[in-house]
Amino acid sequence: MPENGSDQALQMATLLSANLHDTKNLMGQLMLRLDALSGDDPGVRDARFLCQQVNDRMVQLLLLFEVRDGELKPQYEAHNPEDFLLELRENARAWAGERLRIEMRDDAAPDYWYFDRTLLEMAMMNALHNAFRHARQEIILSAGMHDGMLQLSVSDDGAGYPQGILHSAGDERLPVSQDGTGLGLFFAGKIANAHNNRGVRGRLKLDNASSGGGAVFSILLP
Amino acid sequence: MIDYSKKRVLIVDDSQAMCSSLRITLSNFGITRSEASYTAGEAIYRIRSREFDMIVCDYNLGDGTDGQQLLEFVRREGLISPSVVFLMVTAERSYEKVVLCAEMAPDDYLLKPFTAETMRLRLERVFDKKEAFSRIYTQLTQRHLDKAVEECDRLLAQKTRYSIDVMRTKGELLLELGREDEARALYEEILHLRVVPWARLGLARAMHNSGELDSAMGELREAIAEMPEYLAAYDTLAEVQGAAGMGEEAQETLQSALKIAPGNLVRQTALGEVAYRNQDLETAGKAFETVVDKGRYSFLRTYKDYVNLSRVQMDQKQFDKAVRTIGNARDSFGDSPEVELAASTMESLIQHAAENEAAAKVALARALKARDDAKLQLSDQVAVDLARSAFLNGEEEIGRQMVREMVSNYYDDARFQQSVRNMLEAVGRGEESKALIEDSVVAVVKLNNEGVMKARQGDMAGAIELLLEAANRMPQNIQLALNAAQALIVESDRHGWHDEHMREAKRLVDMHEPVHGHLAKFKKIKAYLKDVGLKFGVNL
Repeated sequence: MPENGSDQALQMATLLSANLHDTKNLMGQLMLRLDALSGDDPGVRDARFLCQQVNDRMVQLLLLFEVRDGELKPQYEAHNPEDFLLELRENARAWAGERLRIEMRDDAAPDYWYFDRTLLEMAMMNALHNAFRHARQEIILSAGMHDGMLQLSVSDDGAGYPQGILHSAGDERLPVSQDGTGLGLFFAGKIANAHNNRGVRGRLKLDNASSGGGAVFSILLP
Repeated sequence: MIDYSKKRVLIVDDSQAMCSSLRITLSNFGITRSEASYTAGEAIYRIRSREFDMIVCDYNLGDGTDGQQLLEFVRREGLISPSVVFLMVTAERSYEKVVLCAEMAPDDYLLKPFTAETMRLRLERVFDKKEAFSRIYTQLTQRHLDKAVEECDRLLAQKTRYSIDVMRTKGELLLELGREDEARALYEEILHLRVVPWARLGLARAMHNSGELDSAMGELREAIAEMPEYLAAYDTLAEVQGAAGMGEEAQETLQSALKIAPGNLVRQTALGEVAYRNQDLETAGKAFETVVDKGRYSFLRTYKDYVNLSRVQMDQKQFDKAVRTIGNARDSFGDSPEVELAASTMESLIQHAAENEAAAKVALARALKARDDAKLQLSDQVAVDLARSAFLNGEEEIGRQMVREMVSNYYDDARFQQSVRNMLEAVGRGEESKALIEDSVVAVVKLNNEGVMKARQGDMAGAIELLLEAANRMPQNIQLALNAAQALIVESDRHGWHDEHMREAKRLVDMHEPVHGHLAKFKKIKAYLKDVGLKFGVNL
């Protein structure tokens, strides 16, 4: 019976969303509890990083549903790019500890720009996690203007992206990789591309143009 | 640096565990003076009884209401000053859409899960923004709207990072002040760069206020077509449609919005009112029933919901039900004079319709007593209802007197006169309506002209006495108020500063600003008041 089928689907969707709601609430409590512990202990920092990564995966899971059900629809609000980067940097410092320097460059950033903060946070956080794994000493977060678009970048002083990844930027197919890098970049591309202002679309830009040949992850927003 | 040790915070979340996590996090920032409420109703109680610097509220409150409704309620009712930070916390990504589609936005929102660091940075920023806005807020709390606009301009000239927020505030102020042209220019400037929903809504409001109803409706329809979940646009569209006399369309608009967000009781009430005006009793009854039913445990409930419902039930000839509804209103809201007046008025109408003459007369007597004992300023609806009951229950002279007063108060409001006329027709006094309404209008116009004539002849004292007395007797009458204010100012202008008179003029101007600030004559008098103040170097 089709009626029953759709009833069941509806029930399933309700259960799913209630479950997700709980998961996010519990994750929220877990994060705040971990943050209430002293960050001097490397074990605590590791736990925070792991918690962040679990969250990354959960968020990606949700995005997968959104992508499957149709296009991603950004909710545009005006945000200050400096504030946005500062938040990323301070969060990254909380789990990076002494191992890496995380710097910011935002002199050329506008006062405000319209974008979906949550989506951009996902994309940039994921890029930060990747940079964290590959950087030797330093990660640089930057915001500036490029071709009339806001450019948000994460660059590191590691070995740079392998050729395979550089070629795949903008690829519409779902990548399959063990460490999650591919999936993160796939979403970053989707997120960038979903941003649209009067017909101009955003895009993802990957290169190895940082001073030491390290990876530069950039999102351009119209 | 912000001194968190003095900040008082209220946390509203139906999950006790989350409340305690938030409290621990806040206390690590140095915020130790925090309280928690697990329901919206209890939160309102706390907000009413003491002052907070910040409210951290979960969007999902469980008990049939949500954080956005709480936000809109406390801001609309003025329960918190504009300087109070309202921070929404939510696990729903869909809340972002709510923020964009609502008329009011919180100062910021946090999506769960978030880290303590993120929360700390967001708090720093919102408090910094409040600090930057503090001079605007000072003017706002004193209702000096034009000075608040000046402060906005000052802040804009400083090119702070908050310019877009300042523009939003400035646009709202300009609209409230009746400076449509400036509001329009501001919104167009923003929209030129990007389609920003709130700017679009503002533009439509500016069009509405300058009488361009068709353009306003066009703009709003386009906004809805592009963003079908844009609820605030539906509300504004329904308002414009109502003003344009398109009652049926207004009803459809509200019904579409309610399909998207069925839980909004404020909108449900608006639907009931529009449907009742359209004489669609079935829809009106359902809407008010929902409001009474769903609002039972809500902070939004008022006795007016019950009165509205019982009026529909009476019109449907369900008299027992109507009386029971009024009884429920009395049970739930105790015996304040307002409740007593509204409930007894309604009861007298129901009993009369049910042909229980004696009961109707008793109820009317109770209503009149409540009115006279507490010297209540009647709201439009209650005043019309009470006059109707007086005519029906053999107190014609009281009815006539009320009609005269109402019409004198609103002698240039055609829509209100129409509702008085409809009432008179309904009680079989159609033949009297012309005389009652027109005579009252003529009487006021005569009084007004006499005052103006005295002023022209140079008898300022006589003009002031006449106009001021009339303005105080008919407090809603804008023409009398403005003429009285003008006479008061002219006197000081010509014969030197008269402190008492100038303060009286200022009181009249301030009193009418919220509703009549957009009238050209109002603007003229207000500017005159300011000029004369400057001339004598007095800052009123």
